[in-house]
Amino acid sequence: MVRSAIVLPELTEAVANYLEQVDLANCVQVCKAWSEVFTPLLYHHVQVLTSSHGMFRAKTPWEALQKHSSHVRTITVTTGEFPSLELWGSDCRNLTALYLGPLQTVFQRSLWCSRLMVLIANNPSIHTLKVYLYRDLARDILHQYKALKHLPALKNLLLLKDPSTRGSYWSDVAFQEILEGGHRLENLVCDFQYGGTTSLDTTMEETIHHQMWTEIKSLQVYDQIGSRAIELAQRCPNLTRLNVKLMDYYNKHCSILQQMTRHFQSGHLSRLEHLEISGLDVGSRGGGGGGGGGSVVESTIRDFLRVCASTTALKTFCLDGFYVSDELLTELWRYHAGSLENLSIMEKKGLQSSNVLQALSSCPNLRLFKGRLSRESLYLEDLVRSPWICKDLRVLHLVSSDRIELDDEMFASVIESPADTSSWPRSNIAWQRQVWAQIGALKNLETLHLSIHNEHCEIEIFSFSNGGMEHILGLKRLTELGIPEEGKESFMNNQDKQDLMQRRPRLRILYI
Amino acid sequence: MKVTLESSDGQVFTVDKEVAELSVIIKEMLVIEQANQDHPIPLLNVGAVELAKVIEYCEHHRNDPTIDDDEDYDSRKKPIEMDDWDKQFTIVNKEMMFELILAANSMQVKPLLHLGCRYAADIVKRMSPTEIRDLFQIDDDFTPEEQDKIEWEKQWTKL
Repeated sequence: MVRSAIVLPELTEAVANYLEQVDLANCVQVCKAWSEVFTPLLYHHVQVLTSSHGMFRAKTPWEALQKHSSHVRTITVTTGEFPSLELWGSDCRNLTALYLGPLQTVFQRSLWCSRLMVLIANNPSIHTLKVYLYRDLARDILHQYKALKHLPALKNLLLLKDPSTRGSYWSDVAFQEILEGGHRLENLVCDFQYGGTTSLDTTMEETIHHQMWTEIKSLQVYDQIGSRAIELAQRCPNLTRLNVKLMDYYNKHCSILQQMTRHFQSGHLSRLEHLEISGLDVGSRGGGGGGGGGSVVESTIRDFLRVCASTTALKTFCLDGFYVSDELLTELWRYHAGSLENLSIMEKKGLQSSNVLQALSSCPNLRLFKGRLSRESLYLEDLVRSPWICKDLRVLHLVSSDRIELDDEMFASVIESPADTSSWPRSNIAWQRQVWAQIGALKNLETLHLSIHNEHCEIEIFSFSNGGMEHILGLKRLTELGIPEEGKESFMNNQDKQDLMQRRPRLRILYI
Repeated sequence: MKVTLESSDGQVFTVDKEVAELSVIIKEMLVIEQANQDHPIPLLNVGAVELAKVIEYCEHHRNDPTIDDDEDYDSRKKPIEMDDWDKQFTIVNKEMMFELILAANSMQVKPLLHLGCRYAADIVKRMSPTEIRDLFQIDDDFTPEEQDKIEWEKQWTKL
């Protein structure tokens, strides 16, 4: 007789996390005891994903839902028609989260919104609202229908770009609603660009203008010159996570980081632990003069790294899309090397080998490292000059940058002349073995992606046959190995691959 | 430092303190009974066979980072990752595994509990109600009318 541990009340929910709805439905049918336990879980998350087969006309499924609607906690709606309160059932009053979209189409926007508002009015317990921007739907929900005012328990507001809509904009009126209602939030994502030209309503009360949002911990915004990002940054003294997306045309300053820097300099204590910056393009370098110290935005980030370090050290630093100078990295190592757990630098041109070594040899707590290596100046010997000390590394992702057109003026200044490659074939194999040995010493590695090349080297600079097998087999926790696409590069020959698959059948080998 | 644990059937196990502390219950007990460590800690709900297995698990996972129980704002928690060792570990008979879940629950060994729940879910997954009943030797206590009603309600899940 098997004791059915899974019906212990404290365990069912954990078990249910791994079950699909169809499995939960089967569990409900087992016996009365199971029915009692699994029925609430079956209705926990309700998704209305398609209205194509007359679902709104079919009565039966909705009647079943209405009977159990008090169990519903989260609702996802991606249909052009929003189900009316009648369909949800009058007991649908215990919602905690509402996910709207992505939407393909919306029939009768005002009807869609008003039905949504009725549902919201019945559910003051909602703490999470996620809305994909579909045309002006988010603006209407926020501004015209004043949704935030009707959500007293709201903690997480996620306004996301709709994958099918090009160019997502928010407008002043919607933004003002956020400013007025934002003080209760803990997590705000504004994943669209500011497209308004008019300024904020100056009649807004002074208190709202200067209100501090002390609850908010996590903020994700687009940054543009003159944008509202600063407005938000000013009021968020306790952020632990900041994710900034910079706009191509406006990214010479990174105004939100400048604002945060001023903030911290004027006595506010930084609590920031996670910083992600993306979207900065190499095109912004120079910014007119381009003298030695890099662009304004670079020095902004450098200042920020220094200033925020006075009270907290960063655990996460992600930067993608632009050229990172040695000066910036020096600041990063100096102030944050000891604390960094997640580091991702996926700049276009690619990091120097020595910078990659610094990450691996000076950040003892790294758990994830993603780096793009320069294809023009990769030197294996620079990767192994000192031991990699990040013994807890779980994910290592090292790939070479894409081929870059050398005539691009922007890059000409930063590209070094090719090294003398005549001596490579001899010593290179020894360096390859050393790199593999360093990888082999990362005993906790779970995911390893390697695709390393040198533009000027005719032979394969780094291949599996020079020490890979022995060290990969020693990594007992490794479950995923990413290698260069077949045929393109000769990183691993077929014989080795079959060998490896045979000896480590559970290892997933994929092309990156 | 070592601590001793005593199973419900009186068998005593000696383990490193940091291994035993993967159990929230033991960790708390050790804080309270700091002075009095000559006596083994009694585990009244856990038999020797299960306790040995729990200790084996804790030994292997002694250096793992602790699981964050922070609520994500997405209602569904991220499933835990199973490594090769964990998969090997769960290759025992079902009775044993369910006993282990109960042991992990009473000792509050969180990662083992998560592993067990995932194991239980994998077993139940894609089983028909009849198959589940056979496995757990549960009697179908629904009347045909009640079964029909549930079958009718189930239509909701097929949307």
